[in-house]
Amino acid sequence: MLKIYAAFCLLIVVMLSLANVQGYVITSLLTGEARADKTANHYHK
Amino acid sequence: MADSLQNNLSQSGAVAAPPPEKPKGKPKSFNCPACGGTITLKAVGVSVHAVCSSCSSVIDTTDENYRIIEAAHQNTRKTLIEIGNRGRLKGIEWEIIGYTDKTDGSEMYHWDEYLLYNPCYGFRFLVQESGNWNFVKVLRRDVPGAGVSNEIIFDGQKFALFLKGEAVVQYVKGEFYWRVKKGERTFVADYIAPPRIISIEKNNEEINLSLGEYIEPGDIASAFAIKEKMPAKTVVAPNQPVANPDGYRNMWFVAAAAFALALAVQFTTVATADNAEVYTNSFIVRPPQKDQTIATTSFNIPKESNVLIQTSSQIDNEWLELDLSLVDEKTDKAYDLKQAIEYYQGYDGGEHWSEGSQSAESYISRVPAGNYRLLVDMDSGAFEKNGGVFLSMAIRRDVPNWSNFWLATAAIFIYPLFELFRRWKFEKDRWSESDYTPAIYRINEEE
Amino acid sequence: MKKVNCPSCGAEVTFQSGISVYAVCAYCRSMIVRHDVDVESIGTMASLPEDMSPLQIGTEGHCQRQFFRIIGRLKVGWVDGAWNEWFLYMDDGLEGWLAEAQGSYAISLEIDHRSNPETEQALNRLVAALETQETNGFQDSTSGKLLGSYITLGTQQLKVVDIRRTVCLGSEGELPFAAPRGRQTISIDLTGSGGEFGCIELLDGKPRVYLGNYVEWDEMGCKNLRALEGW
Repeated sequence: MLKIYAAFCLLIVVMLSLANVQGYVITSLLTGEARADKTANHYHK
Repeated sequence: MADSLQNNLSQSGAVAAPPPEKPKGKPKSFNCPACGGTITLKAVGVSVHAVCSSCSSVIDTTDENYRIIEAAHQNTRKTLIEIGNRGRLKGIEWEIIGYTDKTDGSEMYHWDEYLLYNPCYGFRFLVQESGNWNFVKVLRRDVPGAGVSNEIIFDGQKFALFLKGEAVVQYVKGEFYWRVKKGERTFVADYIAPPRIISIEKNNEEINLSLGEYIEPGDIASAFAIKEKMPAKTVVAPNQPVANPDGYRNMWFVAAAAFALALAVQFTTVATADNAEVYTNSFIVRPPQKDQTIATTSFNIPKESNVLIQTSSQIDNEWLELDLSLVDEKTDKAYDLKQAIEYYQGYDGGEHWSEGSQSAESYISRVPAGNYRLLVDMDSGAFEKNGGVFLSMAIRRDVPNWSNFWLATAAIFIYPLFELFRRWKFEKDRWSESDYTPAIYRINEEE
Repeated sequence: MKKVNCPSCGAEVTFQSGISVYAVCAYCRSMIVRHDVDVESIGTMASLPEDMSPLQIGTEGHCQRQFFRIIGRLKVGWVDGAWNEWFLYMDDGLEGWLAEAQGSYAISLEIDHRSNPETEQALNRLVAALETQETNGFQDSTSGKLLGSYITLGTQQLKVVDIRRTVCLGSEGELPFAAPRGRQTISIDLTGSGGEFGCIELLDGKPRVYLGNYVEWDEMGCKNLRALEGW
């Protein structure tokens, strides 16, 4: 059990590193902040 | 004869000639004066009461005529471990020579006490209550405060008072080295320091102290080759040890190490963040223009990172809603988000109150490098009132943010906190049978 | 070591310890008392009640790195049972005893109670209180106060845990006093918080004080044990 937990902790730390480096703000993602899935529509220059 | 009186007392311990061979020590049998059945004593010379296995009469074995203490005409009760069974515990072979069934003062709780015998090592007890077993040894020590204080110290350890009560002998079989009697009542006090327990038994003038250690039913079953199922544990024993204390401790070490690592990662992130402002401006929007989309000038995001959009407005008792869209000029990809700026304030009988905020901020994750504009659509209660809206805006990139770290910390500590709760619950269950429960385990108790 | 011939049967009787004044002839069980110039038989010792003790005359062991050999036994009875007091030969010539009672062992040496005025006072009080006793069980209020009280023996504060009238059930080997059957004493047991053991023995109102420790079987490392059937 302890081994699983240690592996889990390692995973969390790795994920934290990746998220920080790549500029993810997880809380914003979770509250549904927009991701660019759609192209800009009627907002044209 | 006079010559032999010239004595040299040799200090080197010279040994005398051995005396003639003496017969081996062996069990002693005699006939029960009540029924004629055979009674065999194992702890010869030490046992004082023996129970006839045929008729259950209690016999005084210190009396040369084997006086009957209590006559009976009953069959012997069957017990989990029988008189005469032998087992090896902690490297020593023990023989069961006696058994008592005891109850508490209310006669609701029963427990078994087996008397174990080894001619060299003396006596021990195996006590079984509610499926939990203790291996017990008589303590020939003075323990100050035993039976009186709420806490006693033995062998450098603190033992906490768990219960005070009575023990009543209900049934006996086998032989005993004290004058056991059915119906005999003693005062009992138990002190715990899991896995150990110290019990005090007091009757009239005599005080007996004993030290018990929790032992798993599995160990008893294998020691005495018990084929039947051992009684199931129905409560947490007063001195039941917590499971896997090393594992629990190590788990916290892992959590601490992970937290330290996460903190290091976070500090590195914060120290190396660009935290650069890529755009800042202010706008005044008057009611006629309220339906128009404001477009910022182009600004550059040189490297993939998070983006923070900060807006503020000097509204007073008003609301302001913003529809924002961060648009990549080359790919036309858009990041849409909403912001609400609401601020209300007033005086309530001389005291100032306020609600809301005059600013808002939102993060967008992982915005690729490129040239961007921000498009702003707004709506506000101020427009109805024919007022204008003053909007101030700043866009930053690669902003050091602690929320990822706190999420990681929460994730790291979920399991340890769960285990902490389980441990608290275990202790609460342990103390639920006691009248001396420590305060932290009395939370949530029903009155 | 002193060798004499049994006045009854002529067998060789050895007194290993300089303190021993009495021995039971191993061959004819004559009770022999040693005087300055001669030995005298004072009767015959009946055979001792049987027991399952693993100890015997000749058993050797250690107590706190001190070697001992069992050279005599006193079987003591009281209203609720019996125990063995094994007389020990120790290299330094001290009077040592190994008490084997209810599965417990305690080794003690005689101490000079007169060297400590506190102990002497406590003993006088004890003797006076017990002299008023008539019953066998010490169940009345006087003993109630004595039981649980503390007495300083040597440098230790020990608690009185037992007061008993004892009678000699028999003896064998050599002993530092004559021990015929029926010899009566009052025996007071004391216990300390560190496993200390104390014993005050009153014979005709005169006290002898012993101080020592409870010991575990393994601590003694006994050799030359008695054979026991089934063990």
